[in-house]
Order: sequence, then structure tokens, then C-alpha cells
Amino acid sequence: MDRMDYIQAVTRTRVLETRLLSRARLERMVDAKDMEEVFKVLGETEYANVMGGLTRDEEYEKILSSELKRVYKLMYEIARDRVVVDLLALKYDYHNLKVLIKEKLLQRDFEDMYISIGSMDFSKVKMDYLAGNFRDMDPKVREAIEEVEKDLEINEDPQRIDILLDKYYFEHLYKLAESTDIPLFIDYVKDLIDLTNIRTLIRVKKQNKDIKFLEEVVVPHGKIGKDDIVLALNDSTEGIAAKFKSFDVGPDIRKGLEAYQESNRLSEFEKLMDDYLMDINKPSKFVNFGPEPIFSYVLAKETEIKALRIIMVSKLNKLSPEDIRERLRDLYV
Amino acid sequence: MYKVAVVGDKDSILGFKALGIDAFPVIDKDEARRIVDTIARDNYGIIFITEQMASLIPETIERYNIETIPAVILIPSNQGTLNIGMDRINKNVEKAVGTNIL
Repeated sequence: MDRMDYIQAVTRTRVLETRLLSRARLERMVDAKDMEEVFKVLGETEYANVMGGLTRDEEYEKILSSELKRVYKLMYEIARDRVVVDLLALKYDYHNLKVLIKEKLLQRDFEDMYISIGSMDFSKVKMDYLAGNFRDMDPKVREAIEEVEKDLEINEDPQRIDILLDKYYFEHLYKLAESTDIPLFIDYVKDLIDLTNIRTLIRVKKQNKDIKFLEEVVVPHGKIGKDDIVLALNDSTEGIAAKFKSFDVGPDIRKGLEAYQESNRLSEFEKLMDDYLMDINKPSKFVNFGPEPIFSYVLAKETEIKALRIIMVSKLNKLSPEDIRERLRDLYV
Repeated sequence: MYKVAVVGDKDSILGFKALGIDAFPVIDKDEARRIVDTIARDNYGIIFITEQMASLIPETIERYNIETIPAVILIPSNQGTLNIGMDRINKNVEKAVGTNIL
């Protein structure tokens, strides 16, 4: 990947960055008295383009998904190498794969569950899969599908579909990041894996499952070794925080676990997780030659859309502004 | 076998899906009326409906009161309770036992 290829792309992204929602604007939405006011604030932003034809407050999801689709389409155009955007789009492919396999298994139509974003042409994957034609598929996807089908025959456990596909997702994601040789991307994926593993560890602990199950669901390739996480199953939450404190994600794990102990909920941990992953992207603002700003911009948009979703759902359910603020993620700008 | 359904605003009822109950998110009263009438004829034995939604369509709810199947049961939504559900239970108990024993 030649960094000089990105001069034009970074310039275009810089312009787009200025249109990201500011904290102040989000605050105005948080304090809005109802959805109508939220929409009014949103109408002053770049979201105005996708807000047409909205008849009911409850259709907010349409705005958010068409905006996300627009961003992915645009950034695929801007980026010289698709892999830069693929890193973030891959999760939608694997979501779609889960839907696809379950659709075939149950012989039912889940058309509205598919997300029309992704690194591959999913309608083709779907057609090939249903026709039993595995030849043209991405070898990684093919391996994942074949493995899941084989496992289903033996274990007949639908939960295994999700477990296995998540595993293949992270494997695939890691390979993609590695192929770019860009430190930010590799760090992002490794930290994402670490944080996901720790969250898995806490959940498995809470459900009192055994170490064998944990071994099945922990994902390799993080900075923290897989065995270290598996062996932490019997440690106390303080023990876990102390054990991993020297890793990059250590301080956030400690904070997240403290919040978990107080409230017995992982929502704060997940917020810290998102904040951390946004944080390591912030230096991209000062990169002028290279793919990092493209990646960070897409992530910033995803975070922004997540923040808007939190605000809108909370408004519809009449949550107080304090409750909304507590859940809101850090932004890129 | 009869099925179980839940009707109401999306954020209140989606969790029921995990229990194997069919969730039908509705937004306004026309939609609620249509959904309740459709699923009542579709082999549903119990229909849970949020009080907020039920309060918008009292005639429809009343109509299913005199039928044995489906049983339409009012539940509070995530906005809290309006106490109509509990009132109905109290009334039914009174009818059955002659006095309110709850």
C-alpha cells in the first residue's frame, strides 16, 4: 500500500470531517424536549439529505441506515484499496451470513434482517450458497460456511452458528488487517479482540459455564494470549483487572470492571470499549499521507450514528437527559 | 397448539421474542386494531398487549372480553403502568368469587 496514493483521498475526507456532528449539536439533541425537536436539529446537518419522506417518529431507523449506507458507498469510492473500508464492513458480511444460514435451516424468509452493506456482493454469495455452488466464494467465507454446516450436522445446536461465525469473522478481520501492514489497523483489530474476549470472559463467568465453553468462544490473535484469558475464569473481577493491567486496554478494563461490579451491567464496559477504540483513531487527524483518516472517518460516522440512535430511542421512551448522557459515546471530533 | 403473541411499542415488547413469544410492534391505534384482529383469527391463544396501546383501542379489547379464545391480557409497558390491567384482573376476580380477595 503506497501512502502517496492517499493524498487526494485524505483531502476529500478532511472536508467530510468538518461535517461530522459536534458535541454541542449532540448536546442540543439530548436536551430536546421531543423527537420533533431532535429532527429539527438534525435537519441542519448533512443528515438533511436522507430525512425526506419521513412520516413518523418511529421511522428514525430509516434515516440512520440510509446515512450509513451512503457513507460506505462514498468511502468505497474514495479509498484506493477496498481493504481499508472492508475492515469495518466485514462485520455486516458475517451478520448476513448468520441470517443466511439460519434462513436456510428454518426454511423461512428473513429478508428484512439483511444489512445491505458489506465488503462483498452478498446477493451473489446468497445465490451461490443456495445453489450449492461454493467455487466462486471467497475461500475464507467458504471455509466458514462449510465448517458451520458440518458442525450443525454433528451438534445440531443453533448457538454454534453464531459462535463459529464470530470466530471466523475475527480470523478474517485479523488477516485483512495484517495484509495492510498499517500499525493502526493491526492495533485496532488486536485491541478489539482483547476487549471482546474480556467481555466474553465476564459473561461466561456470570452464566457459570465451564472452562471448556470459554475455550470455545475466546478468539485468538489479541495482544492478550488466549490461554491467559481462559485461565482467568476462576479469578475475581479485581484479579482480572490486575492481571491485564499492563496491556494497552488495561486501564479501560479496570474501569469497566469496576462499573460492572457496582451495577452488575456490562453497558458501561461496552461504552468504554467504544471510547477506547475511537481514542486510538484520533491521531489519524494528523495523518496526511496514508489510509488511516479514511478508516477513522468511517468509524467516526458509525459512532455518530450509534450516538444518534441512543438519543432517538431514549427520546421515544422518554428517558431523562442525564440517562442519555451516561450512555453516549465519545466522538471523533 | 395455540400460540402466544405480544402487541405494543417496539422497545417494550421486543424482549418477549427471546421467550419464543411472537412480537408484533405497532405504532398507532389503527395498526394496533388491525394486528389484534388479524392475530386473533390466527390461532393465538393469548395476546398480551401493553396498557398504553390497549387504552387507545378500548372497543377492540372489549370485543375479545366476551370470547373465550383468545385471552387478551394487559401488561404494563416500559413507561410504567396505567393500572388498567390490574383493574381488569380485580374485576374478573370479583365476578368469579363475588368479592375482591386480592
